[in-house]
Amino acid sequence: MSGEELRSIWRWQITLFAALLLLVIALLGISFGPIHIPFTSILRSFLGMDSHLSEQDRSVLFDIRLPRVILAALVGSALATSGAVYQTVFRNPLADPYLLGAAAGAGLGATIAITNSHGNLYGLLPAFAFSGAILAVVVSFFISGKFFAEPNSLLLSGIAVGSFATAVQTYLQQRHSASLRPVYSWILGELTAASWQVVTWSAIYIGVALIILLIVAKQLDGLMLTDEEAYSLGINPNKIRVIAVIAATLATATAVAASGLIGFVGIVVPHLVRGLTHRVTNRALPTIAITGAAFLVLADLGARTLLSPAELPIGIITAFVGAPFFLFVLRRKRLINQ
Amino acid sequence: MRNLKIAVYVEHTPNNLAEAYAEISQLASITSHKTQAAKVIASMKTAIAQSIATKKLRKSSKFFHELDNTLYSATSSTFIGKVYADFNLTNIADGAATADDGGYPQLQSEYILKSDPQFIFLSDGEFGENAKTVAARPGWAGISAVAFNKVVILPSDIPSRWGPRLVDFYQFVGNSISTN
Repeated sequence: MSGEELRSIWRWQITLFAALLLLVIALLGISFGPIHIPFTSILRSFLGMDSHLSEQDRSVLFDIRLPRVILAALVGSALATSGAVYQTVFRNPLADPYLLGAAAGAGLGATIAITNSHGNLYGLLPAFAFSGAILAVVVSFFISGKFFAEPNSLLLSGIAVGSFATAVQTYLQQRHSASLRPVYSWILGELTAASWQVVTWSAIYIGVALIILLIVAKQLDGLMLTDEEAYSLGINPNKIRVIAVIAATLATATAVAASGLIGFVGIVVPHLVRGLTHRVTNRALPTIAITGAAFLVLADLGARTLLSPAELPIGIITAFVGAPFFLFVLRRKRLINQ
Repeated sequence: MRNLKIAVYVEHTPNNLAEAYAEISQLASITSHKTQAAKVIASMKTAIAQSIATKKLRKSSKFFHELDNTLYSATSSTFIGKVYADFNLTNIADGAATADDGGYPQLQSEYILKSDPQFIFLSDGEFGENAKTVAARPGWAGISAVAFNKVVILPSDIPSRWGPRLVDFYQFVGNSISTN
């Protein structure tokens, strides 16, 4: 494909603009907090110059704010990219990364970790949430039987598995009412647990998943055609769908394990990028990932500052923006279909 | 149950000592144990007053009451917050009181570092939190309570019993701030 043809599909300037936006928002993210740290000192510190920061300021900057901003960026990029991929794979503009039961499975895993009688599983909450998300999606696939031969069957399996996991989760919550607060807090999404350790394992899993999705981005565009047309272009649609859903699920499960259930990012961001650029191509995935990162870093900044020094669950912020946007997309789709 | 003509008595969570005593009296009145209840209340008042008199700090110290490791806390408007206030402890969660009418805001880690509490009370010990895990949190090793080993794990049973066992909680808090 010539450079001119590629430019007609996607313009790299858009991706660059999104990256600059992310940089500015990330700088804002590490600049605000209950402890005032002069912006010039932050910049000097990052440039390796003498910043005159106290030990506490350095700790706040490098051990609290920076890992949190990076984790928000990782989770935002994972959810946004997964959402875009799910929308392509299922040919449904309202699909989100939690469609196949990942959220409910992760919720059940987290609830098991929180409500176990001796509390010794609490430290394994991310692992339980991750396993729950993966297991729920695998079960959805297993029940639907024919993978993507009948996408609606897979969707229904996902809904059924999700409902079942939610029912078990609710039962466990009722049996352990003392654990309601941590479960509720986790469900609303939080980045309070951000640390370099969480950032490291999140970056590995999300990085691998995003690389796979970026590699298959071109073939994903083939899924917007009929399967016969895709085959004629040398694309095996079912193979691409399976690879895409596995990678998107890995990214989603990691995001959920690191930060709880943060909704609407996977719907808002892909539609925002595609709507603003008037491009439906999956060449937009890098831009969607970067914009998702910027969106969640900004949402987290709101979560930390709106009620400061208290914290607002980040899921409330994303839902506050996302729910009206979701309705907007729904209405727009209806108008187009008329 | 009322339709089945079964007498029902519902106790709401008391918001302070006076309400706790009133509920004990009311329950005693219903079950015809007024005299015993009066004795229980009198002994509670004596024990609590004694605990406060002997353990109350002369100079106020700041504290952080941790409900869970996502840093939810309780302000002085809650019953538990009032217990701490009786010992002249200053609640850092009061700085975020406007965030939650119910008195249970979620604090930011950075704010806790900035407030530098002299005592940290953990009510999430049953979920694996302790002085070691608290010290391992980013920046927390420098907090006075951590540096001077004043991180207290609250017994999971005592802080939520707003009846005669309130005395146990008062004595536990008193002992924690005097012996630590």
